[in-house]
Amino acid sequence: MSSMVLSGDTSGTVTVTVPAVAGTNTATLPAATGTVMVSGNMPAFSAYQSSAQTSSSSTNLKILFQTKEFDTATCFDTSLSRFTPTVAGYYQISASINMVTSVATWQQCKLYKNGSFFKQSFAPSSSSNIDIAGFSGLVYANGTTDYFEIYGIVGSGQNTGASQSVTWFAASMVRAA
Amino acid sequence: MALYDQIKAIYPQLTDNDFLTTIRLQNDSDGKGDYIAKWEHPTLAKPTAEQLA
Repeated sequence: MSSMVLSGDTSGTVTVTVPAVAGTNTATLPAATGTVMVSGNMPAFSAYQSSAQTSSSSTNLKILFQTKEFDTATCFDTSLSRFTPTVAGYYQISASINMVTSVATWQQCKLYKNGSFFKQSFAPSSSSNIDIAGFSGLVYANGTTDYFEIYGIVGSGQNTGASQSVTWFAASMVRAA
Repeated sequence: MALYDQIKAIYPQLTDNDFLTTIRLQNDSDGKGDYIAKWEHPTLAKPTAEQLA
């Protein structure tokens, strides 16, 4: 394996390594100025709800996600159920909320940014006693102070379904700013 | 009684759509309970603390 070692401006090094490969391979850098992103510095996390909550009718409830599946850059705080990306850029955010115990007339899954309502989805009533509202959107984060939370609202008071598979919050970086 | 039910008792004419547009009730899961985060109803006044007590 051959390597190229670049010295940092003041200290440290970055090593570019080429593994053993067959044939001729070309990696082309774009003719643009910016930060090269690699898997190690592109935040991604996934968390889910492991303890249920009770929601009042027509009230936006901050959904809690107490358990992390992974968090590559320590950007998700389970004590606040808050995602605070540490790298400026564009993030794909997804979430799912499960409401159980009775038939909801309607429900929404909402993304809050910096404590304020930002974007939402809408799910009509289902015919069963299990309802799921989801959210997916592309957002910008400044990498320092911007943070994101998930809220849910249903037409009639419900309990959330605490489960890894149905009440979850995940995000990953798509590209740097 | 939940805040929503208190408000509906004061203003029974409010609809689901009102709570999705001009009125936002919120609970930040911080132990402080439900509160009125936004009240921009065009004709009905925001309930007072006395009304909600």
